[in-house]
Amino acid sequence: MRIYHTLALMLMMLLSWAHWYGWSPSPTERLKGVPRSVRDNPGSYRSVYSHYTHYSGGK
Amino acid sequence: MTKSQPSAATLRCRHCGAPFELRGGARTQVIVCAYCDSATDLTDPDYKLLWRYTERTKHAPTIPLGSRGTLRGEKLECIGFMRRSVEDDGERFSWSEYLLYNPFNGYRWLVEGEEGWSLVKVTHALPTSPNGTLITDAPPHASVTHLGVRYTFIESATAQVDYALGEFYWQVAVGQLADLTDYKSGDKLLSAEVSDVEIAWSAGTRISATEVRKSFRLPEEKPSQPPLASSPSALTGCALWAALFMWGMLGLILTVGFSMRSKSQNVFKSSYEYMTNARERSMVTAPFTIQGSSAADLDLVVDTTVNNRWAGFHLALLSEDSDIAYDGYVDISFYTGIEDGERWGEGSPSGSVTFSHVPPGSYRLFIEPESGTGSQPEAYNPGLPTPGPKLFDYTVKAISDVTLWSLYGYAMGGLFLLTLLFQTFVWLRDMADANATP
Repeated sequence: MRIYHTLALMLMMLLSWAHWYGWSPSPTERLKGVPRSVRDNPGSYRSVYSHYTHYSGGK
Repeated sequence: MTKSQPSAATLRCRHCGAPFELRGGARTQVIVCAYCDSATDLTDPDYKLLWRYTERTKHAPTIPLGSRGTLRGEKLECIGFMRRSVEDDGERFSWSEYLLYNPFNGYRWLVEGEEGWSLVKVTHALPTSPNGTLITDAPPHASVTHLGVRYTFIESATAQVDYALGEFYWQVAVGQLADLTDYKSGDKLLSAEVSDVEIAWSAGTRISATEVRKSFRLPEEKPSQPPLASSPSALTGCALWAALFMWGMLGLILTVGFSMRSKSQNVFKSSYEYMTNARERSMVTAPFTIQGSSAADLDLVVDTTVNNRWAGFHLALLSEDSDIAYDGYVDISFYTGIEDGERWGEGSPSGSVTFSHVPPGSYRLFIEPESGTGSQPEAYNPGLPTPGPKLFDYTVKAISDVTLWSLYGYAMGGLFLLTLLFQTFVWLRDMADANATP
């Protein structure tokens, strides 16, 4: 039982860290080094997801 | 014994050399070594070896030799242990006998058998027959009277010494035989032991295991066969599920605590129309400010009026204060229809994405929508009017400092899997124990 409680405690600590620091299960990316030119002209930004192809079976 | 007892420091086992610690005083005649089970004759001038016990199985006494305790007001020390047995219908029944010693009061015996414990001491008062005649011949007799108490005959058998350890005041030997006759009166016991040289009478009384355990400070006896209602599986299994509930509640309290701490501020909201055959759909919003003292999670929620098609939104949060951008994608699909007179629906016209650890500051939102009814988004067709009719509306909202309840869900899922894993281990262990038990 001691091992169980230790692992459960670690899980709770992980949960607390995720809440405090912020962690999202969503597929997102944090990009660094976005050039000034893009920030000055945001319309020139192209998403990293531009290659993403949505598939839907449809009805 | 005819010669004076040597000091304990010089007396050693003749077989293995282990030192003897004499507890029984001058009357000890035989001492069996606790290490090699060899017996030394202390009455012999050369302390000759009486026997070497060759059987590999050692019997561990319940009361360790040298243990001291107070039993029925007498301070006693356990100095000897032996295992004896009788044969009945081809089956051997064994019991243990502990020789206890008090330098002033002499010897006592504790007998540990299937029916429990009894405290016995040698009696020099001979019993009498029903007609009042002193009994001097060998038993059995139908009934005897001893010190005013009438005892009835229980059984007679020939007992054999199977194992001996420690000190004894007679020349004990493995294999030694004696005819035993037991008499009983309520809790009182009377026994006659007939050997080649004498008839020894001893009187005793039943004593509880608890009293023996407390007197000699013995550890609690674990049951050999636990009752079904409290099997190890049930106890540990219940404890596991109780622990799951406890940790689950703790996780809930943690999440509620963080939720109460979060501000959930709406920092941006704007509505748009999605037109067919638009040449350029991507756009960048006006700057907006995320306030706060530290980084927090930010939710981007897209609500649409799509129906029977899918819509995807590339979303990027561009910081005006640093070179960081947060990039994500919201996937929405919603289909409805009527089948057999019943309306059905699949999917949702809304979706969201969360950016984690977004620091406060000024941001713009980059939005690039796409939509279709097949596997690919509908492409621009220069041959058709641009833009064409509206397909659906959509609203984009940004909410800062949100609490993600899905994290609690993930934690609970992990905890549940952990509990299942441990429960499986407990079941397998108990099955292995059950198969191993003869």
